Amino acid sequence: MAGAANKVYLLKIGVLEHAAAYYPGNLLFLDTDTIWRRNPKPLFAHVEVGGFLMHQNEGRLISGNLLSRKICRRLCGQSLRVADRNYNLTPATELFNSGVIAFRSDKAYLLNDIMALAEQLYAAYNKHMMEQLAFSLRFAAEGPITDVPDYLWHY
Amino acid sequence: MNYLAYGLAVIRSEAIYNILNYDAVAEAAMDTRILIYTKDIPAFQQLLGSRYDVVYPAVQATQ
Repeated sequence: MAGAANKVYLLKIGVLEHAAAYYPGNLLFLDTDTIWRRNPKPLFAHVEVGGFLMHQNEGRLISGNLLSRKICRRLCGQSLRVADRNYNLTPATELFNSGVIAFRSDKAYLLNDIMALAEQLYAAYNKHMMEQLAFSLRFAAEGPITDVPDYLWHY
Repeated sequence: MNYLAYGLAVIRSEAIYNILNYDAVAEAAMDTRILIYTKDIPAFQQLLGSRYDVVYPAVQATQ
């Protein structure tokens, strides 16, 4: 379940695949180091209509935190290809934190692409945040990602 | 909601705290199910009790 890159972070993808298959509906995954700040009802309503949620938009790769900028120096300008779709890594690529991930279970087919993207990204640059970059790239190709820092702290 | 709560006791404690915190902010009528992926179900049951809304999915190694 950890994928060819053998990253424990990829377990998250496996858990989401399992949950989507056996508990269909509006899925909201939380890292344990999160704390609720307010009633989550609007989040589930957003997922119900097909929206994607992640915890926080950490900004563009070119201007994000130190690791984002390192990743940009290494990978911006490159293109990844998964399932007949190109994913361009550019300075404007936005990175979202994956402490919260939410989507409707009928979109679980995206997880295969996310796994493939993550494995390519880890192979290109072995940094723990590649899993969240993979989610960010694939979700963004499907529709806008809404961040939810007003609903949860992630410490 | 899904929690991946394998490993250290501190991870389990964080997950339990988050669930209790969720109870405090969520509407009782929301009818959510909380899925906890863990190898230590008793540790959760000891603190959460038997709750209809908490599920511990059984996952095989091949999955």
